[in-house]
Amino acid sequence: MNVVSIDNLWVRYGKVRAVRGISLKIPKGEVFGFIGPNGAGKSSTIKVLATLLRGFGGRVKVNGIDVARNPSAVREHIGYMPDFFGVYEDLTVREYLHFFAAAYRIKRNDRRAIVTDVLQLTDLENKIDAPVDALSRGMKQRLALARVLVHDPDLLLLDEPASGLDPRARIEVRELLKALKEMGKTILISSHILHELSQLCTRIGIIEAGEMVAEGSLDDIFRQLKLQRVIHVQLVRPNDALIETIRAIPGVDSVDQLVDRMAIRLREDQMSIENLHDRIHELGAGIHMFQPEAMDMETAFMKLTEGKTT
Amino acid sequence: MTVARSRYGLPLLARELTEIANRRRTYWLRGVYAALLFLLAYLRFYDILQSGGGRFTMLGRGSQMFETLFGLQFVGIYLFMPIVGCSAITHEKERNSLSLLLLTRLGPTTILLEKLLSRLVPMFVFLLLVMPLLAFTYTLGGVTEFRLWASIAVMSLTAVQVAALTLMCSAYCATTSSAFVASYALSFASLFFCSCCGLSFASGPNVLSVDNVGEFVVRTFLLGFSTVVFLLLARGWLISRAFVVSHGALYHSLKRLDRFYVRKDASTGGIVLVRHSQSLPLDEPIAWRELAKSSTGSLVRLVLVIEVPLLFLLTVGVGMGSDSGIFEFIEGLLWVIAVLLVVVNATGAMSREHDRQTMDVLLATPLSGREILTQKLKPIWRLAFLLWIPFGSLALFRILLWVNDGFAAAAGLRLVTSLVAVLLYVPLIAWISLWMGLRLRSQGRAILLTLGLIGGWTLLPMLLSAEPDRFFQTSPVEQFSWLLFSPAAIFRFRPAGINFGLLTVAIHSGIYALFLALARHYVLARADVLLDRLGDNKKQVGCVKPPGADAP
Repeated sequence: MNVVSIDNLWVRYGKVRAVRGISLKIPKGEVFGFIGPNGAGKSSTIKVLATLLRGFGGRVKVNGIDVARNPSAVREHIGYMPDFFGVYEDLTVREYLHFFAAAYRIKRNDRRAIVTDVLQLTDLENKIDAPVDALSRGMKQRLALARVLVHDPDLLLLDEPASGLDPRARIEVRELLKALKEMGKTILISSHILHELSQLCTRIGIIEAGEMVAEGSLDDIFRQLKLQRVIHVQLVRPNDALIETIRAIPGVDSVDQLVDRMAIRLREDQMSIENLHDRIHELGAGIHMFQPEAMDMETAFMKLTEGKTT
Repeated sequence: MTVARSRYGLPLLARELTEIANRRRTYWLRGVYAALLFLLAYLRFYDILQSGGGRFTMLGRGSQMFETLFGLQFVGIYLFMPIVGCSAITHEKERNSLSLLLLTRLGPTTILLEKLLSRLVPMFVFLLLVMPLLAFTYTLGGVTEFRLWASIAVMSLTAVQVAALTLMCSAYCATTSSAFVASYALSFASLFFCSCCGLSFASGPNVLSVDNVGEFVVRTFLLGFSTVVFLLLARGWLISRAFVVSHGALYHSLKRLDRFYVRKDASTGGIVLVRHSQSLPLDEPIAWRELAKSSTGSLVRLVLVIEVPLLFLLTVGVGMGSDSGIFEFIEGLLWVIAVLLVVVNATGAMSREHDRQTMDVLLATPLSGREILTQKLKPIWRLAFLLWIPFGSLALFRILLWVNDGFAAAAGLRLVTSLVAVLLYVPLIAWISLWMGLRLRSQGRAILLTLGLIGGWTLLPMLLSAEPDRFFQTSPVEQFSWLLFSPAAIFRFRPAGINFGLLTVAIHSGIYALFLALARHYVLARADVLLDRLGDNKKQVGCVKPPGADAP
C-alpha cells in the first residue's frame, strides 16, 4: 500500500505556480529523497502533505486519507519537521516533548515512557531537564526529530533536516535517519546535501521549477541519464599493451592513468561493473584494487537541472 | 557630487522615508489625523462663534481658537508620535538587521539621528495640517506675532521631545509591542509631570500657547534638556540592548528582586516573585504553556504594578471628594491600561508563534483551530479575572463616598456595572484583537487598527449623542440609543442623572453580551481559515481545485 499518493499536484501563490502537476507514490517503508534548487517547490509539496496549505489542486492522500477532505485524520499519521527548528525556547526538553505528547492526545500514563524512548533514540537522555535554548543547533535538530516521533507516525515529512548543521551534527542526524529507516518508517526528506541523500534514500525525485524532472532509484536515474561510472583499478604489473586491451573492451569509454592507479570510465548501460571485473581478470591481469566510485549525484543534479526557479 | 552624497548622505533616512511612503498605513494615519483635527476644530469653533452676539463680536476671538488648535495639536502629538516612532529600533531588532547596521560606518549617533528624523518628518506633515486653520484664527485677531511663532516653536520642540522619548523606548525594548506600551506609559507620565509643573496643556486652559519671553525660554530649555537626556539614553541602549531577549523590564526587575530575597532568605522567608511552574501539560498544552510560562495576569505583578499605586490614588481621591472628577480620571486610566494589556496580548497571541517559527509545528498537530485559539486566550481570561481586583477597589471606594452622599442604591448598581463591564468588555476586546492579529499578521498594524476601532466605537456615539443638534435633530430616545452603542456610555450614568437605572444597565449589558457572543462565534467558526491551514469544514473542500483544474 502507498503511504503517500500525489496525483497531479498544483500549488499557486498568487500568480506564481510553485508546483506544476507533480505525481508520485511512496510505498510503506521507503525513504524518498526530494532534491531541487531553492524555490523548486519541495517545501510546498511537503506543506501540502502536512495539511498546511489550503489552496492547492490535485488529489493528495496519506495512508489512503484525502488531505483536502480529512486533514485532521491525516495529522494523526504524519510527523512534520519544517526547515527551521520550531522549538519553544522557554521550555525544558522534558516540557517540550510532553507539550507535544499532550497535543497529539497521547494517554497520560504512556507519555513518560514515550518521552524516555524518543530521547534515548535521539541520544538526548542526559539533556532531559536542560532548557531548549541551551541546546546546540545539532541537539535542537535531534530534539525536533524526537518531537516528530512522539506519536509514532507512519510518515515522516522532513524538510531540510540537515541544513545549517556542522559536519558532526549532520552525521548524527544521518545516523538517526538510518535508524528510523531500519524501524520501517516511511520518510519523505528534502535536502541540498546530495551525497547524504544518496546514502540514505531508496528512491529520489529531482524537482525543478515545480516539475519533477527525474524520479527513481539512483541507479535508474544514472541509467536514464546515461552517466558514466568511474572505477578505480590497481593492477599488479600494468603495462601499455594491457591498458590498450582494457581500453578496447566494449562499454569502456576511457582509461586515465594516474600515479598509483587507473580510472576507467564505464558506460553501465553497455557493460555492468561485475562483467568488467571478469573481463580484466580474463585478460590475466592481477587485480590489486577494484573500486567503483559512489554514484555522483551532484553530477546528475547539475545535468538534470538548469537552476530555474518558479 | 556623487562622492559628497555618499559621504554626507543620509542613507538610513532615505530608506526609512521610502519605506514609510510605501506603507498604506501612513496615508490612513494622515487621513484619520486630518479628519479628527478638522472635526474637533469645527466643533470647538462652532461653540466659540455661536457664543457671541453680532458679526463684529467675532473679532478678537482668534485667541480662544488659537488655544483650541494648539490643544488639539498637543493631543495629536502625544497620541500619534508613539505609534509612529515605537518601531524605529525594535523593527530592526526583530528583523535581525540592527547588528548589520551597527557594523556599517554610520555609527550609533548617526543611526539614532536618522531614525529620529525619519519619524519627525511624518509628524511634521501632521502638524502642517493645522496651518489653514491657524491662518483663519490669525485673521480674527487676538494673537500676537510673538505668540504665534513661539507657540509653533514649542509645539515643534514637543514633537521632537516625544519622538526622542519614543526612540529611547524603542532602543530599550526588545519588541515593538513592548516599545508601544512603554512609549505611551512614559509619554503620559511625562505629561503628568509637566502638568504638575504647570508646563503643559493639561494644567489649564491658558497655557497652551506661549505668551511671553520668560515662559518661552523656560519651556524651550526644559524641552531641549529632556530631549537631549532621552537621546543620550537611547544612544547608550542602542548598543547595550541591541541583542536583548524579549523578557520585559518588569520581568528582569522581579528576577533581581528574587535574587535579593534568596540572598536575604532568613529575613524575607524566601519569597519568589517569578515562579515558573514545574508541572507538565495534561490535556490543554497551549493553555498550559501560556499560563505557566507567560506573565500575563500574574497576580503578584498586577498587585505590584496596578493595585498599590491605585490604592494610593484612591486614598487621595477620597480626600478630594466624589465631585472632584478624580474617580472618573482613575477609571478612565484603568480602562486605558486594561485595554492596552488585552490588545497587546491578544494581537500577539499567534504572531508570537510566527516569530518563534513554531506556528507550522503547532498547526501540524491534530489540535483543531478552535482548540488552539481558545487555549491561546486562556491567560487573557485570567487577566480579566484579576482586573476585577482594581476595578472592584475603585467601585468600593466610590460606593463609600456615594453612600455618604445618600446614593446607596446607585452605588450598588455602580459596583455591578463595573464588574459586568470587565466581564463583557475584556473578552470582547480580546476576541476582536485576536481576529485582527490573525488577519493582519503584523502585530504593530493589528494593535493600531484595534485601538483605532475601539477608540472610534467608544467615542463616536458619545460625540454624536453629546452634540445632537449639530448633526441632526434627535429625540432623547435616539440620544439614549446612541449612548447604548458606545462601550463608554455605561460610565456616563451618574447617580443624579436620569438615565441611570437597572433597566439601562441590563439593556446595555445585553447588547454587549450579544456582540461578545457574535465575535466569539465568528472567530471560532473561521479558526482554521484564520490560521491559514486546512480544516475539516466541508465548505473548504470547494477551495481545493480538482485535478488538472489549473493546468495550462
